[in-house]
Formats: sequence, structure tokens, C-alpha cells
Amino acid sequence: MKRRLFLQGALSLPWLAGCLSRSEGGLQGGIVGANFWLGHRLRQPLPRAGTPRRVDVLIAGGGVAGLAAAWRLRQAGVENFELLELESEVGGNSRAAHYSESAAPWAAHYLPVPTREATVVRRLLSEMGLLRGGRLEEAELCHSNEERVFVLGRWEEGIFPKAGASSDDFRQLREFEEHIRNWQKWRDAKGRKAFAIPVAWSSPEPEVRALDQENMADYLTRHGWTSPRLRWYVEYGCRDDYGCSLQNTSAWAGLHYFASRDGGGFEPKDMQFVWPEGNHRLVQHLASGLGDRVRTGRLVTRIEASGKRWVVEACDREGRMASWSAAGVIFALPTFLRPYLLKEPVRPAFSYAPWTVCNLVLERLPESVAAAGMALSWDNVIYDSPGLGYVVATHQTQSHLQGPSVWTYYRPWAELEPARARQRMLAADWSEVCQQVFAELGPVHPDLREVCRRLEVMQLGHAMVRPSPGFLWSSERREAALPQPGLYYAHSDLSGLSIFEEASYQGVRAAQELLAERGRKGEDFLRE
Amino acid sequence: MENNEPPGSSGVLLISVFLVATCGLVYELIAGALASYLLGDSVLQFSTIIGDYLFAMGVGSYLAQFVGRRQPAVAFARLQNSIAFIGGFSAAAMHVAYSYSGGFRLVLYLLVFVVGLLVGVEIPLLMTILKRNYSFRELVSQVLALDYLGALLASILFPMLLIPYLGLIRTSFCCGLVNVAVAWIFMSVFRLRVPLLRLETAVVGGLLLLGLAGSERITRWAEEGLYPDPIVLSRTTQYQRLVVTRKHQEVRLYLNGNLQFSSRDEYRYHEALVHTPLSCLEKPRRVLILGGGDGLAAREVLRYPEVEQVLLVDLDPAMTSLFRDHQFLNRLNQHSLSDKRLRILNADAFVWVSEPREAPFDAILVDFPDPSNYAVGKLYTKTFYQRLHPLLAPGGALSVQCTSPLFARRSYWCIVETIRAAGWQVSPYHLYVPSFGEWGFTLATREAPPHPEARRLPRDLRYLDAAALPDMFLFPADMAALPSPVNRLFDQVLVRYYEQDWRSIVDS
Repeated sequence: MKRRLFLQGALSLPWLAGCLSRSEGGLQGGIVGANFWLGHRLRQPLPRAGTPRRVDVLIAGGGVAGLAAAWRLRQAGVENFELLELESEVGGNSRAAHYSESAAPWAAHYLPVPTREATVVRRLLSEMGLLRGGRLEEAELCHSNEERVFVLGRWEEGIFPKAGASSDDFRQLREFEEHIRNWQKWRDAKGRKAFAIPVAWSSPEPEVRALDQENMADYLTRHGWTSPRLRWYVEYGCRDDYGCSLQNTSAWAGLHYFASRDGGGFEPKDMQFVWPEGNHRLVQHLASGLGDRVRTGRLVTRIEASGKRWVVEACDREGRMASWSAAGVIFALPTFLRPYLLKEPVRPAFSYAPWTVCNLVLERLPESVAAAGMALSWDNVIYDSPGLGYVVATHQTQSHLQGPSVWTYYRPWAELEPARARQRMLAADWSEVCQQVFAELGPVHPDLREVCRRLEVMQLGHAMVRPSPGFLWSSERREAALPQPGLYYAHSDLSGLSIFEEASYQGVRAAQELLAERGRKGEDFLRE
Repeated sequence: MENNEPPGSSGVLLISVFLVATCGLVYELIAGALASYLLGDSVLQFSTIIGDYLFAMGVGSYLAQFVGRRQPAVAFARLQNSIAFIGGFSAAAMHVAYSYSGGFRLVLYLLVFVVGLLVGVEIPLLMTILKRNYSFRELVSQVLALDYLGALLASILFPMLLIPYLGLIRTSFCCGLVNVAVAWIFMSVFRLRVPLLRLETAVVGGLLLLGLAGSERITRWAEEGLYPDPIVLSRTTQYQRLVVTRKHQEVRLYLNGNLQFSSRDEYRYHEALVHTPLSCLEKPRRVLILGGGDGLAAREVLRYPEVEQVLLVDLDPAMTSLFRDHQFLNRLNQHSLSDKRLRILNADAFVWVSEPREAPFDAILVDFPDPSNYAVGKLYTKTFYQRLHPLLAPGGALSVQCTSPLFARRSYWCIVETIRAAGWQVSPYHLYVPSFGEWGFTLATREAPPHPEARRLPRDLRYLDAAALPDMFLFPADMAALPSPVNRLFDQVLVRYYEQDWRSIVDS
């Protein structure tokens, strides 16, 4: 009984948090989304459910991997499945907020023009009409100006902070860029790239794999790249994509960030798709037509073999248990949940970076957007600052620099051990987070507080898998993806990088494994 | 006579230390914030102002030894009045200096220096007054502790309360009033009976109250200095700062400080924008205007009796309702915005053209502000011009405002090239508009090249006639076509050209 109440409490919290809007000095908002402690509740023994519902396939987890798996199954004509999602909406890190001013991302906010190897993403984009006959839909690519950085009191174009940089800083930057270009050109005997997206297409040559043993900080030092600006710039990339510091990122992953995105044959090479609601646009496409096969508000609590089938138990927001009996299960949840759900041993190699994401709803743009240098861009970065800056949701939809907008602020906790960072995040209440956000953005936009009507906070405890040294090329990572009869694993953490391309790749891979076991091999979406 | 200080007054005096310290820092922050707003580059502004201020305080502290040797309390009250006056009016003075003189920086640093100097005298003088009640150690530590505490309070209050709720000018007047209050506290605590001092305090207090009451007017007056003619109307809408000036019969509209039209010669601009495309058509029935919230283009369109419907899509509802309802502005557009044939739609044209729910139009007139930033620049991209195709009926014509082919030659031809790349047949044209200079447009059609005919022009035009019409399509050598890349959403070359073109004009 006690456990049950506990669980009820845990499940009702996210919705409660969403409703419990607060108001302070005219500013409204609150902490929204998943409760931070929820995963930890799974450590408790749980009650059993009644007679299971029979389905052909059950997908546990409605993030990008789970949705991509569902999408692949439907392409193969498998329609008898259900998908269980903890949150009230599918999408995982690609969910969105919808305000009257604009939609805005809750985390993932862009998709680089895919590499040739990212066949799943290419197929998806052509279904959406964004990549047709070798042409990209220009209107959906990030409009000018893409990014700016605030350094020494002024905004300037790009991310590398130029103001105040010495000639040595620039020399080191040029060397680093040249080094990256060389890695981009590198091919092994079989013609494979050193750093590919999906990661699975990267060369396994020892020369490249060895980079995974070293951390990015040491790698930079070893090459004589000591410039604080260059190191900040490289670390910005690691924090942006992995939520990790230079020390906690393997050199392989650090180089992958810079070398892997080659524009897939399109020029310029660094274009990306951007939408007001972020990657939720892609999620909406993946999820369209799923209908009531999606069950939201379900916390999967147990997955067990039962004869040739699998029984999956889940609990809803009222604490009621339900169960499913499925011939095949696609486990599209993060790997760290497997000890709780599958009674597997803990896999310590998998560690996750926590993130704080905030959406600032603005009545109008603050006047300070026009001050000091380069005008407002899509991505606005502040040099030497704990957060990553903010992206402007209305960048693609407005042709003026006034009026209402939504800014999404990102704060990885790269400087702390993940467990400590989670503690810190948990301890901060809404008004404390607001204070931190305004303290960080205040020097840049002193009038931001005046125009901010609402500030919503999402605390993502296990936002991204961390590509720590040794993880990406470890046997632990490879083994975690191996299926059992009727049970297939799909999550971006199996790739070691938390990006849309990897999540969708893993989802399609798992679905194809399931189809192959049923003798329905069909077309391989993972190859051209 | 000054020793008749009542027991227990030192508490009040210590509160004064705290208050003057708070005000002192607020003046410094006001100068820093104002300079950052007006000049940009906040790090530079704050650091030079802090330097100037601290140096002045040092000078003040040094000079303090020569001040108020006989009557320190009277000197202190006088000092408060001076700080109240100079500090209290500093924000207003700087605003006005920015608008009316070229020497804003001089006034800025001078004011900061004077206020810093006076504030620098304060603490040593107060210590002299307080030294009777405390030991030296106590005195220094208590006074300095309160001084720093006041600074802390100021630095917290300033961004969180004062700026958001009072604004810079009112904050500065309010701090002046606090200084006046301190002067008054001193006069009562020390029972100073100096009639002139009372008068001084009352006058300064009164002036500050007047200033506070009139701060709205001061802001406006300061703004007038930025415009050559008297302002008759100014409005801050959700999207822009709108200012109308008038001198004799000439009315000018400025948006965010940029001239949009002068009533003296706007007919040239609007006749060229409107009648050139309309004279390509036998019977224009439906016309779309993108931008043009002032209703002047609409006025020209409504000259054609055969026009049945005009749709005007403009971003800012405040702009269109102002030009529809304001007695004096709607005379300029001859009440075009309240014409039965015209419909106003307030929307961002960039978004609206991607999902139009309207039947095609016979003519489209595109009249947006110049591409001075990447946001407005979207309205000059290939994607935007492509999206206009479904909005134009077969045989229809389109005209686009394209900035100056003389001052911004590369920008002009970049726009022309972009329209061509979006699948239009283009005919560039230009004319002279005195208040703008040489100005350019593009006439475009989808099928056959555009062919405007003078016989279709309305009769009572002031500029366009059979002679002027073909003349607009000739480009002399200094404005002749330049090869240009296409302006695309993800790579807006035009905005960079525009900035360079106009900068070279401004610099030369």
C-alpha cells in the first residue's frame, strides 16, 4: 500500500508540476515535464497487474528511437502494436512547448543536413518533402543569421570568439580547422570515414579507435592547442552535443562533433534544418497515424519472458497497473533502466548527462537585442558562460525584429559529476532557476526581465548518454545492443551519442531485427 | 553652534551614510546604463565610467580636507543639495545632450566626474562630523561598512526594481530627492538655522519634483532633437517606434528613426510603385499591397474605378489604424484605409504568403522597409518571391520597392537578380524622389515581359505621364546593372551588400 501511494505520488508529480504555475513579480511559470526522481522509484518492488492485453509488438518508450521503430514496422505492414510512453506526449528529447506567441523546443532544436550514410534521416526528410530530387527545401533551412557570440561586451558573427583573441589564438584555430578537414577526408582501406553518422559506419581501424581511449582535453594539449579560446570553442561543441566537459569527452567523440557533419554533398556544408518547435517537427511526422496505439502516461515497470512471449507491465498516472503480452518487444528506453525493468546487472559504462532547459516567453523582443554589434541570430551564445545561450523560436517565422517571441535557454551541467549535478538541479526550485537564468543573461540583456511574461523550466536528469573516454568503442556498448529472442533494443545511448540521427537509426535497426527474425527481411533502410 | 547635536543622532547620521552611498552608486550605474543603451558596447562604457567616477571620488576625497572646516554640517547639507541637483538631473541632461549636441561623450564624462567628485567629498566630511561620537577605529569601520552596504543595495535595486519600474530618468530624479531628504535630515538633527540653506533645499527639492512630474515630456523633448522638424505625433507600437513630424505643410513619417515618406514628394514614389504595374493591365480588379500601412499606395490604387478589391497586408495594427483614424494622417492618404473596397489584414507578410487563403490578384505591390537586417531581409529572398507566384493571376503584374540603385547599387541589382531567379520576367526602373534621392523598383510579370502603357495611366497624376513612364526604365552608367548572386534565406548576401553600400555613403 505504501509503495503504491509512493508511486502514485511520483506519477502525479509531473502533471501537478505542469499545473502548479507560479507567479513572481509578474513572471509566471514553473517546472514542467518529467519528475526528476521518477527513475529512482523503479528501485522499489511493485505490485503485479491483472490479465495481460495481447498485442503483436509492444514498444516501450516513445522517444525518437521508439517512434522510428514504430514507423519502420508500419512501413513493413506490421500494424498490431502499442507504444508506451511515460510523459503526456511522445518525443522524448524532441518534445515541444506550444505558447500563443510561438511553439518552442523542449531540448533538441535542429537537424544538420544529413550525411550520405544517414539513410534513415534522408528517407524521412524526403517523405516530409524537405529533400526532393537531390534538392533541399530552402525555407526550412536555418535562415541568416545562424549564430552569434557575445564577447567583451559585443555580439559578433559565428561561435569562435574573435574580439580580444591573439594572433596565436587564431593560428591555433586555423590549425585545428585544418586538422578537422584532414579527418573529414580520411578514409580506411574499405572507404569508410573515420567519423560517420550513424556512428556504426565509422571505421573500426585501430588508429581511429585508439582516440576513444584519450580525453579531448589531452588530445588538444598533445597537439599544442593550449589557446583558452580554442579550448572553449571545442568544449562548447562537447557541451552542446554531449553535455560533457573536454575532460569527460573522449577524443573520438570530440573529433566526431566537428568532423562528422559533411553536408551530405550539399553546399555550404554546415546547413541545418530548424523549426520553431525544434525536432518536434520530425516527431510529429514519425508519430502521425499512430492514433490510440500510443499510450501516454505509462511508466513501464517490468518486462519478463513468459513462454515464447513477453509480458510488459506498466503503471498509469493514477497508480493502476496494466500488462501486455507481446510476441515481440522493442525496448526503446535508456539502457540505465534495464536493471530495474529486466533485472539485468547494472551497466556502469553507461552514464548520462543532466540538462536544464528553459523556455522564456517574451511579450516582445527586448530592445537590447539591437544593441552592440551583430543583430539577433537563431543561436545566441555567450562566451565563457555556464549555459550554452539561447535559440530564438521565431527565427524562421518572423520577418521583423520586434514583437512576441520565445527563447529557449540551455544549461548542461558539464562541470559537475552527473550525480552531483542531478542533486543540484533537484534542490533548485523554480524561482531559483529563474534567478540563475536572469543572472546569466542579465549582463547581455538588462531589459529581458521586463519583457519576459513566462518562464518554464524542464529538468532533464538523464538527458544524454555521455561519450566518456573508452565508452564508444567498448564491448559493453556493443553487447548492450544484442537482441534476445523477441526482445530488441533501440535507444540513442546504444550509439553512444544522443542525436536524432542515432536515435532514429537505432529504432529502425531494432525494428528490422524483429522483422528479420520473422523472416520478413524486406528493404534495408540502414543502407543506401 | 554645531555642537548642539542631540544624543542618539548618530544612528540617523549612519542611516544617512547608507542613503548617500546608495544614491552615489545609482548615479554611476545610470551613466553606465545610459551610455550602453545609446552608444552600445557595454563593457567599454561601464569600464570607462567606473574609472572616471572612482578617479573623481579620489579627487573629491582629497579636496574634502578643504571643505567645511568651520561648519561641516552646513557644508554637508549644501553638498547634498548640489549632488541632488546635478545627480538628479544627470539622466535627463545626458538624454538631451545626446539629442541636441555633438558632445554627448563630453557631457557624459563631465557629469560623471562632477557627481563623482561631490560624492567623494561626502564620506570624509561625514567622518569629520561623526568623529565626536566614535573612536577612529569604530568610525572608519562603521562608516565604510555602511558605505559598502549602500553600494550593494544600489547594485541590487538598480537592475531589479529601479530600471524596470522607474526607468533611467525617473530613477535619477528619485535619487536626487533622497539626497534632498538627507540634507533635510541634517538640518533638523543639527538644528541648522541658515535661512539660505533652507531655501536652497526647498528649491532643489521643488525642481526635482517638477522634473519627476515632467519626465515623460523630457523624454519626448530629447527625442525631438533627433528629428529635423517638430514632432507632432509619436507612438511606440508592439513592432516599432513611429514618429510623425511636421514643418509648415511638410509631414514626414519615421519608423525606428528611418524616414518613410515626406508629404512633399511621396507622390513621385507612390505613383511609380503603383501605376507602373497597373498600367500593364487592361482592367485591374483585385490588387494586393504588401506593407504600405500608411495607405498612400492604396490611395493611388483606388484612383482606378475598375478596381473592386484591395487587400493590404501590413504587420502592425497600430500603424494601419493610426493612418485610418487619425484626422490629420488620413487626409494624406485621402481616407484610403476606410474605403469600402479595401480590406486590411495585419500579419507578417513572410508567414502570410506561405499560406495564402486568397484568390489570385491582378496586381501585387510590394512595399517593405529596406533590407537593413536579416529579419526584414527575408522579404527580399528567392523563397519569398517564389511564394508570390500563386498569388498573381495570369497576365498580372508585380512591383517591388528595391532601395536606391545609385547609393546602394549592388543591393539594388541583387534584388532584381533575386526576383528574376524566382522565375519572374523583370523590368527594373527608377526615378528621383527628392527626400530619398534616386530610387529603384522592379516591375515583374510571369509570362510575357511587362509592358506598361501610358494610355492606361489615370489623368490627374503629378509625375507619371507618357514622357516620364518610358524614361524610368533607362539606367545611366553609374546605376547600370551589376552581375549579382541571388539572395537566399540561408545565405542573405543582400543584407551584407546593403550594409556595405550605405556605410560607404555615410562614410564618404
